[in-house]
Amino acid sequence: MNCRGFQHRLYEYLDGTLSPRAQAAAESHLSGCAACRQALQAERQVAQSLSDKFRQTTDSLQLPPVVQHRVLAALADQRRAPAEEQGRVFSWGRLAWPLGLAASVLLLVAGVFLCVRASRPQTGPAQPRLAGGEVLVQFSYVVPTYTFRQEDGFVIDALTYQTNVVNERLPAQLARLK
Amino acid sequence: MDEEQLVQGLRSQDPRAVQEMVASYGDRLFRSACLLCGDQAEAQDLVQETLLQAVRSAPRFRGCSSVYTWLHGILLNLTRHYHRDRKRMVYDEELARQEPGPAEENPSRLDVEMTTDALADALARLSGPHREVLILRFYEDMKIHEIAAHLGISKGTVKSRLHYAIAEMQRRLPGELNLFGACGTEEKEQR
Repeated sequence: MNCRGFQHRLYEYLDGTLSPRAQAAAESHLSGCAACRQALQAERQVAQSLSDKFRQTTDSLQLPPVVQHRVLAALADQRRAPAEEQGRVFSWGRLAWPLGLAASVLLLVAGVFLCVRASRPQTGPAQPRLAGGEVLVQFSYVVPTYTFRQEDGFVIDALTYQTNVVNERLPAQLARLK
Repeated sequence: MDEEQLVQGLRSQDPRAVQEMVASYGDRLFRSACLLCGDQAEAQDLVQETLLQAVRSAPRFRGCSSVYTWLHGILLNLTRHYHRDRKRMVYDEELARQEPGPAEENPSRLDVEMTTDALADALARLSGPHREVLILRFYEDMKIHEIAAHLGISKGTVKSRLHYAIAEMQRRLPGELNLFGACGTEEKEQR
């Protein structure tokens, strides 16, 4: 090992983390090199000096007790919070989807019923007669839509209706009009 | 409570384990934070946030390192954000005009509390990465490979940062505080 090699491994030598072979080579080099011995000594002094200075300047410092109180208070909040959150999620998890499914089925049945009913010609005031024995028939039906969406952990449902109007020309006979 | 029991207690969010963690490592973390950020009030906030983050993330702590090393890792991360925020503040022209000058002009700086003002000043003038390796090496007594693992950098980078940081400290510290002890002046002159 030459001087450059020793300087390169100086920190590992001080740490005692060199391999046995490298350690032996370093010892052998040191025994014959005054400059590297001096460099090693200087590095040890720097380490000791900085270590002492850091300790002298911080030894009297103590973490204020209020920090411990705050951390323990935060822990108490944290232990409380998941239980509340879990309770809310469970109640929705148990109730929201079955309720939503039941409501959807109900509305689907209602929707089909309304569509069938709406597809029948309305009986009401006299339909306007057109030339050639045709009449203008107006059908109207309502389509309900039930939607679910999730917002901030809550399931929000919404029921909306859409009215569709269809105008058709039908032969008077087909429309069974008097 | 030994280290293993402490880790188990922290994972299960046992208040006694949290109390033990603060009692065992709070002061040491606080002192390290003071050296890292140079301001006692900020150091207190940083340590508090470190402990809060530790409590929150304890269930995920795998125990690959010691509890103190894990806590110090969180502290280092937070300190870097702190320095980044300070740097951002200085870049703001308006704030830069109001920003107090170097360490000796700021009354809240650690040097008011430190027995050696010059040391705090020299530390404050180092860049964050250089200050980190210096403190990990000479305050936390870490070996080169441990510092490399802790900071996620190569051993070569640790050594070069350390070399530069020591040279800067020597340059900035006044003669009576030189790092070579009683025969330091002679040594420095030879260099």
